[in-house]
Amino acid sequence: MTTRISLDDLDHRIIDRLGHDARVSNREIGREFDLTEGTIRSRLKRLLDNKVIRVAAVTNANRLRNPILAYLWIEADSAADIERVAASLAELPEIGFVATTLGRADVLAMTLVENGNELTDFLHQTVDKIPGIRRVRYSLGQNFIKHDYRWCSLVD
Amino acid sequence: MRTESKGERRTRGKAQGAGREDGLYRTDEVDEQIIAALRKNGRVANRDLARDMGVNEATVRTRLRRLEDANMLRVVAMRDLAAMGFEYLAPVGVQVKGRSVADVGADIAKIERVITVNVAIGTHDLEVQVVAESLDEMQHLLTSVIAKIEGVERLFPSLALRVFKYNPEWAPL
Repeated sequence: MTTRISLDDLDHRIIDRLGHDARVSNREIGREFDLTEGTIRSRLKRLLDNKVIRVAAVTNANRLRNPILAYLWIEADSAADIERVAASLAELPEIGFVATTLGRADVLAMTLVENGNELTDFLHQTVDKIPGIRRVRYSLGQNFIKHDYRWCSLVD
Repeated sequence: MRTESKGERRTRGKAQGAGREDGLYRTDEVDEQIIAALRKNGRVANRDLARDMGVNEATVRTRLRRLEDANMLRVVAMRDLAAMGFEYLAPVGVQVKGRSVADVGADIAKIERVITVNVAIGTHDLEVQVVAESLDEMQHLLTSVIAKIEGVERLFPSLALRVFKYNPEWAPL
């Protein structure tokens, strides 16, 4: 686990400013906040180096014709397999979220698919081959009412 | 989702070249190269990106603006949940009764600590994700806030123990 740094008001303002458009230059943010470009640059470097934020492109899910978010609720063969199963799933590029969980399943993984066939193929050809998986149940998210994509976990 | 940022979106004339067909924007190889580079590092300067790609800076600037204007791409700062103080993440299934799923979902979506609400097919009507700074707060959100919303019949909560990967590369923009 990375050590947590404390964030002050300026850090939060920079994060919020970059939350809706991160292509803005340090100089422009500096002008808006009445601070120097160097102050913004060093603050931003600290936020990035300490993995508080990550700046990256997000593309519209509608690049797919009819995007479905599949929640895969995975049961492992044994308790000892859980972490290994999660690590294997995290390596798959198709999967955007993986966590070990308490409650509904041993592992939750999420993937975006275009239709049922694509999901079936993915489950049979890729997920089923991962050793240690006993059973996969799934629910299909058909319609996003809210999805704040500005949250993430900066692991590794 | 920040619907307000859509309102702020600049409207410009359509650029020439690749465009919409069947209501879908067709990206070409140059667009895809820009998207791939910005997935790795969203802060790379247009000038450096242009040099790496062997095109001129104006091309990168124009393409990027077109992708943004077509709502295809957005470059944003993504915040680490734990670094921002949210140590607890709960994926929760919701069963709805006596009220429309969309209405119940809209009410749940108003809660700031709820980061995702998705209408689902399966045993649960909604899949939501709730974040909290403490277990106390999570307990409060589930039993005193979400459970009290009209139409919420049962909650099927789980709690993330260890997040292995959470890297949104797409979103409903």
